[in-house]
Amino acid sequence: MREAVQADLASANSQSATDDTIPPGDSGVWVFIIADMCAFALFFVLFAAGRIAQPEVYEASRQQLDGAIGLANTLILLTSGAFMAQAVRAARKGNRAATLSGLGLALGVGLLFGITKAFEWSAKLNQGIGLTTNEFFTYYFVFTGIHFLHFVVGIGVLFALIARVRKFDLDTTQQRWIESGGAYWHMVDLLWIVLFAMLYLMRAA
Amino acid sequence: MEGKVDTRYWRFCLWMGPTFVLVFFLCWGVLGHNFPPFPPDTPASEVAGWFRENHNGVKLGMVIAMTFAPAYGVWGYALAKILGQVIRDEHNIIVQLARLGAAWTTMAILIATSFWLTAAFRPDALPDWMIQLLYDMAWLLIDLAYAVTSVQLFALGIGFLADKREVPLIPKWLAWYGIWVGFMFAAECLMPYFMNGAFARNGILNFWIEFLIWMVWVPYLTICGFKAIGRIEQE
Amino acid sequence: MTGSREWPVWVIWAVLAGASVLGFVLAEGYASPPVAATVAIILAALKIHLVFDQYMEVHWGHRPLRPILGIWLAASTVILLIGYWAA
Repeated sequence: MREAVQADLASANSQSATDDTIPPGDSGVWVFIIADMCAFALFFVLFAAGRIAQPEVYEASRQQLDGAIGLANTLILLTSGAFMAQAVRAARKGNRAATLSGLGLALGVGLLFGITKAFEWSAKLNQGIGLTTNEFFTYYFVFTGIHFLHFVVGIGVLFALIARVRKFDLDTTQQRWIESGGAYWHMVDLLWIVLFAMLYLMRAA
Repeated sequence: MEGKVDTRYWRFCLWMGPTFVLVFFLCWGVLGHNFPPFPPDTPASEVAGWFRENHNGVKLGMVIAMTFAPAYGVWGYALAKILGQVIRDEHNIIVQLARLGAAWTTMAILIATSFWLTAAFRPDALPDWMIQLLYDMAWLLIDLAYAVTSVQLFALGIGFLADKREVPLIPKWLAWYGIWVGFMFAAECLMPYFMNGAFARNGILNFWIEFLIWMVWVPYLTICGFKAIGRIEQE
Repeated sequence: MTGSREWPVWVIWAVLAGASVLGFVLAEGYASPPVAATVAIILAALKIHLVFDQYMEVHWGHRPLRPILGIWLAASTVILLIGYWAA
């Protein structure tokens, strides 16, 4: 029965998802994604080193963050990511309407992240907390800021994908584009997952 | 199509890229005390003292660096020629932008190096703060001019991705890597806000990582460029 | 081994969202700080593993990509744990 399900999936998925050697999307996009993730890994090292040197400053600063907004941001990106995953699966099945609605919802929900982020940052700035307040907030603003730039690019990518799906047939090239865009969007998502744990949830004893 | 492409001088021009990196590293970097730079929180007296003591070395370094600055543009022009063959259209706006990005980068390098040279010209007659000012100004310019180099990086990246050949002239991953480097350069925007730490001009991100990723891109793209020229000649 | 096959998208979402809420609730004081922080970091790692596997659809047969992503995740998790426990 399991085999039957797999065979079914294999026929439904035209290209790479069931290919055990070639990852989905354009291989070059993965170079971009890996390089980017490595840059963030360096950020994590900087943060960890800073936290070891000044644990009290980091904890006191962490308490000034609003964890509920951090959670809301996480849920927004996860939901948007789920719609993106749906769009990729629909594209592979050749279902244009479902692909478009998946991309549109990923975009619509994703945009909420921009609103909550603007709200969160402006609240901090209004409290007189800024880029140079202390090392924790330097990292907070820089890392979430660079992450936000990635988010903005991702929103651009989603717009571009929607335009392409409207204009062209859902052929294999198109699927590759959607898979590549999807991989990028999920990267934005997973980097936030780390940032959320690192900045908001590491409560000191 | 319309016959063979004249690739004379292309290889020579391409060699100018690694040549520039090497000369610039030695003259601007080592002789000019820019690799790594004085941290921004270094007292003015220390920077000025160093310039007064080593002004001859700095002068030599900057004069050679300025002489070789156009080598970057020459290299960039050769890459734009290859790009013209990649997308089979010399007049495409992407090709023009790749060329302009390289030319603008050359100008930024020339102007910034002239500030360091000015600091070394008559350091005994200048107050400490003025030497520090020139040193800061040069660094602010060369770092914040990242965007002109990003124009080149994006244009080359996007152009190379448009290759319709079965095996692209320039590997797609390298095109994406270049786009990523151009994107990463935006971290330089943080540099004016920091006197120390990872985002200062001598910091791990804004100095070491940024230079390293660019210094990997130049020689690797050059190697791929040589291979591409060979293929263009055979097409 | 090629890793798991497709789960329904909303099952994955529910697991990811549930793990996020759990990490948040623990950090808000429903567990001692070291437990909450450690669990939050490990939950983040598990969530990312799930994103690699299910949303990005990168399976262990995709070499060298999947091993690289695996190393990245392991390294990032260890970095955060050291950042917490060595402080």
